[in-house]
Amino acid sequence: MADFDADVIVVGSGSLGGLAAQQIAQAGHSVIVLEAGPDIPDWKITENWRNSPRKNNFNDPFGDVPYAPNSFTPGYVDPHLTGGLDVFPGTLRVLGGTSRHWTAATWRLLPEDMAMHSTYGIAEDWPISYDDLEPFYTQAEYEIGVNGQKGFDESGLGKGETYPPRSKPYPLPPEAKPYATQRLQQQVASMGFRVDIAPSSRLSQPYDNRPACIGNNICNWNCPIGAKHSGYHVVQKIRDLGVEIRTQAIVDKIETGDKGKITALSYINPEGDRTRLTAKMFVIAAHGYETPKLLLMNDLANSSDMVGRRLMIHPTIDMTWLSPEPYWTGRGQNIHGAIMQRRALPDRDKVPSTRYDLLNAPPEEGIAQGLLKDGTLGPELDAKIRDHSARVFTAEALTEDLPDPANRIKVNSSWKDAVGLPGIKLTYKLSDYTKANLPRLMEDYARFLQATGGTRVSAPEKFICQQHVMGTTVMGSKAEEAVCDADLRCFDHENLFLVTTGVMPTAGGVNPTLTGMALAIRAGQTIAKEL
Amino acid sequence: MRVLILAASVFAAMSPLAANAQSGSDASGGDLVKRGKYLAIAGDCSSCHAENFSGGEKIESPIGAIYAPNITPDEKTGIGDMTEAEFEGALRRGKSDTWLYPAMSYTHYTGLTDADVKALWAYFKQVKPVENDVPETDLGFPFVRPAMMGWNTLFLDKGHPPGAVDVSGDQLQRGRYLVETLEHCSSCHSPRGTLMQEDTSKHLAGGALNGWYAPNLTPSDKGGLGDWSEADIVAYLSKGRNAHAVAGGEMGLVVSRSTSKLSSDDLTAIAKYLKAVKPVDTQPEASGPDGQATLDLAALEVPNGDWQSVVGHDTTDGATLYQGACATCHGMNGQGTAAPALSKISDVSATNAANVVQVIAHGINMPNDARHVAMPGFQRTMSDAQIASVASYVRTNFGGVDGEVTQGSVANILSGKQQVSWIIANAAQLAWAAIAVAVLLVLALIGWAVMRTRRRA
Repeated sequence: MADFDADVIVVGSGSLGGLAAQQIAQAGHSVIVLEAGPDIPDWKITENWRNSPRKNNFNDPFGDVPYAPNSFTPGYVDPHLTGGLDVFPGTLRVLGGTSRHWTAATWRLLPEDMAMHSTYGIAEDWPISYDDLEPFYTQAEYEIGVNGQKGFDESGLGKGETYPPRSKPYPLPPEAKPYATQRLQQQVASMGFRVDIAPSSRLSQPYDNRPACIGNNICNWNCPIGAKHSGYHVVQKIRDLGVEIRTQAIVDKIETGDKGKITALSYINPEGDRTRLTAKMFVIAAHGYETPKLLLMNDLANSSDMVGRRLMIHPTIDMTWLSPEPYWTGRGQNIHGAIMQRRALPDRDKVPSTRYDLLNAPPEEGIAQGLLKDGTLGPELDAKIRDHSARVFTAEALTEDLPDPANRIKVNSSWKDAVGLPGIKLTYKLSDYTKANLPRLMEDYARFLQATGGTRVSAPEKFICQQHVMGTTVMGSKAEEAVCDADLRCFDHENLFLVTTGVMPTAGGVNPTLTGMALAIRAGQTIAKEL
Repeated sequence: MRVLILAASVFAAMSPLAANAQSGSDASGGDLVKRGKYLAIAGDCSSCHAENFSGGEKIESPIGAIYAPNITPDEKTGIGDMTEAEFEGALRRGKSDTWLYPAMSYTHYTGLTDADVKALWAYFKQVKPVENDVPETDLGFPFVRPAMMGWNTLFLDKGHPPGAVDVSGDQLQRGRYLVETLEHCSSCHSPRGTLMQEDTSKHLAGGALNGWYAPNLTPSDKGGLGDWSEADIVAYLSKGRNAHAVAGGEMGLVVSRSTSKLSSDDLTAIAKYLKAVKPVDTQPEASGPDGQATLDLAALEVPNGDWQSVVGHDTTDGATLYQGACATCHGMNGQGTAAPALSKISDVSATNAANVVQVIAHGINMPNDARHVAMPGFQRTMSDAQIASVASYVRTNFGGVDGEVTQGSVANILSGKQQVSWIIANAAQLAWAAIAVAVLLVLALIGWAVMRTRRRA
C-alpha cells in the first residue's frame, strides 16, 4: 500500500462509479472516489426545488456551480444539432451523480437488443451476450431495490412468459396501477395495446432502510424521502465500507507509463490547488460526456479513434391530449405505465424499437403556460388549470437510435469554466432511420386519440431526446474498432476501466441506467479479482 | 437496606410460580421443540445471539463490549458439548462451566419453569449448528468472571426476577411470566443502581440504554402508560405502533423479532400485568402541544439565491431544516401525512429528548411482518447542531416541550455512552486501592506485633 495512494481510484461518484467502488471495497481493497461537484444533502435539494422558480430545469436545485458546470450552464455544451432536433441530453455534477434526479426507470435490455447485427442485420453485436450480463442485472436490481410485474414479457410480443429470462424474480412487487393507466388500458385494449407497469427503483415496499414511495410525484427532481434509488444512497454505503470520497476534486490530468499503463492522475480543487494520486487501477465513471472528454483531453484510449463518437441519445416524440373524462394523472410516480408492443418488431432493420411511456408528472405548469399564452386570465384561468389537470394525458415515444461515428462529442477549447477547463462540443444528426418511425408513431397517436376521444394539446411533431448518453466510449471485441473490451478495460491501457453507459455499443429502446449498473458491478468484480 | 430488599424479594419468590408450569409438561418431542421455539422468541434470544443463534453480536455495555456466545449445537464453537444441567445453570443461575455476565438476562430467566427450560433445551439442541467462533469477552480487572459470584450473591434472586409483582389469577401470572421472565422488560425499562443492578424501587419506571430512553411502563399518569388502554399496549406490541407511539431503535427490533409473534392471549396478559404493576411517577409528558407551528411561508420559501446559497447546507434554522427533511411525510405543521402526526407521538412530548434525537439521527427501520415501518435517518447529512435544531423545533412546536436541545446534548446522546455510578467508573482504581489498604493493614499489623514483641523483650 505504501507504494500507492489507493488500490483503485474511481473518477465520478454517480450510481455507476459508486457501485463499481462498492464491489472493489467489499472485496477488501482500498478505494478513493473523486467527485468534481459538491456534496449537497437531499433535504437541501428538496428545499431548493421548492424555492426554484425554474421547475422544468432538473439541475436548478443543484446550483450552477462554476467549477463543475452542468448541461444547463450556458455555453458548457455547444450543440450542433441537425435533422430537426434542438435539444440534447442533460448531465449534472454533484456527489451521487445525475441519478440524483432520475425517474428511476430500470429496464433490462432484451437478448436481441445486444445482438442487433445477428438478429436484424443492422448495427452490431455486443462483445457479451444477455446471458453473460444477466447475473449482474439481478445483482443490480437487488442492490438498488427494483419493483416489477411477475411474468412480464418486456418485448411486447406476447410471448406469454417472462422475457427477457431472469434468474430471480424482481425483489419487490409492482407499484399499484393507478386509475389513469387502468382506464387507458380499457380504452386501448381493443386496438391491441397493453398498458404495463414499468419496472422502477421507486420502492413499493420499504427496502434496505429506505421507506416505500408515498406518491410525492416529484420523482424526476429529487425524491424527498429517499424511496427512489439515487447515487447518493450508494455514496453513503461505500463510505461505511471505508471508501474515501473527495468532493470538489476536478480530475483533469492522467499520466501514463510503460506500455500505456496509467501511473497517476491529478485533480484541482476550486481554488486551483493540485493533488496527484497513484493507484494500481483506475476507473473513469464520469458519465457519457465527461468520460470521453477526460480521455480526449489527455489523448488516451483513442487508438481506434472512437472516443466520443457513436453518440446515441434516444430520440423521443411526445403528445399531450385532453380527454373528455378525468384521468387524474399527476399522482403517484412520474412514469408508471408503458406500452411495449413496438419494442421488438421484426422490421427493426427499417423502423426503430419504440416504447410508449405514459407520463404522470405534475402537469399544472405546462397547462398554465399554454392557457396564459392563449390569453386566459383571472378565475377562468384557475378553473381551467383545475379542469385540464384532471383530464390531461401525455405519452412519449422513446425510440432507439443507431450508432453513427459522425454523432459525437469533442472537447470545446474555446469555452472555459471557472477553473480553466474546456467545454463540450456536441454534434448529432437525426437519422433517416429515426424518421422512418414517424408514420407508425403518428398512426399510434391517432389511435390513442380515437380510443380516448381526446383532442390534442401538443401535436407530436418534433423529436426531443432522453437524458441518456450512450456509445461515446464504445466496448467491442477488436482494439481497432472500440475503446474498451467486454470487461470495460481500455484496449490501450490495461489498468484503466470505463464505467459509463457510454460503453454501450447499441442503445436498445429502453432507459440504459440498469444496464450501466450491471456493467459497473461486473467491472468492479473483475477489478477486485485482479488486485 | 439491600438485605431488606433481598429479603422482601425472597419472600415474594415463594409465591407460587407453579401456575405457569403446567403448559408444556405433557408435551411430546415435536411439541416440545415447537414450544421451545415460541419461548426463544418470547425470550428474544436472537436480540443478542443473532437470528441464527450463532452469536457474535457485540453488546455495548458501559464497562466494555460483551460478545454473545454461539448457542447453536455446533460441537466446536457452539453449545454442542454442553450438558442440560449447564444449560439450565446458564439460564437460571448465570453459571454454566464459568460465570456469565449479567448482560445475559439470567436474573430474569431465573424465573423459568423446569418445563420451559426443558423445552428451550429441546429447541436449541435441534437448531442448525453454525460454526462461528465468537471473540472472548474481556472487560479487564476487576470485572473478571469470578467476581460475578459476589454480584450474584447480592442481586441474583434465584427463581424470582427482580421487581416482579405478586399477582393472582392465571392471566396476570402469565403476564408476569412474560414481562418479568421471558421478555425481561425491566432490564431496559428499569433504572440501574450503583452496581448496575436493576433498581427495584423504580421497577419498570424507565431506564437509559445506549443513548436511548426506554420509557416508563408503569401505569402512572405522570410519565408512564397511564393513558394507554390495554388495547393500545397490545397494538403497540403486535404492530409496533398505536395512537401514542411508534417503536424505533432497539424496541422496533424487539417488536419485529419477538412481541409481534406472540399470541394475542399472551399480549393481552402482558397488557393486563403492566396495568397491575405499581405506578411510579417520573417526569410527565408535556400536557398540551398546540401542535401548530406558526409558519411564515414567505420567509421560509425565498427564491433561491446565488449558487453558493443553493449548494450551502449549514443552516441551523430549525424551521428550514424541518421543512426540507421532515415535512414531506410529517406535514408542514407536523399534522402527519404518510407518517404520524408528531403531536401524537409520546416521545416528541417527552421531557427526555433522547429518543427524538435518536430517531432523527438514525431513523426507524422496523421490519415487521404486518407492516414494515421505515423512516430515513439524518445523521449522515446533518451536523449535531442541525439535529439539535430540528429536535428543538419539533419538541417546541409539536410536543409543547419547553427546553432547547443543544449540540452538546446531541453529541452526548448519540455517543451512546451510559452514565454509570462512581463506583463502577472507578472500579479498577478502587479495587487496587482496596488491595493496597489491605496490604498496608497487614503490614501495620505485622509491624505492631513486632514492636509489641520487642517491647516485651
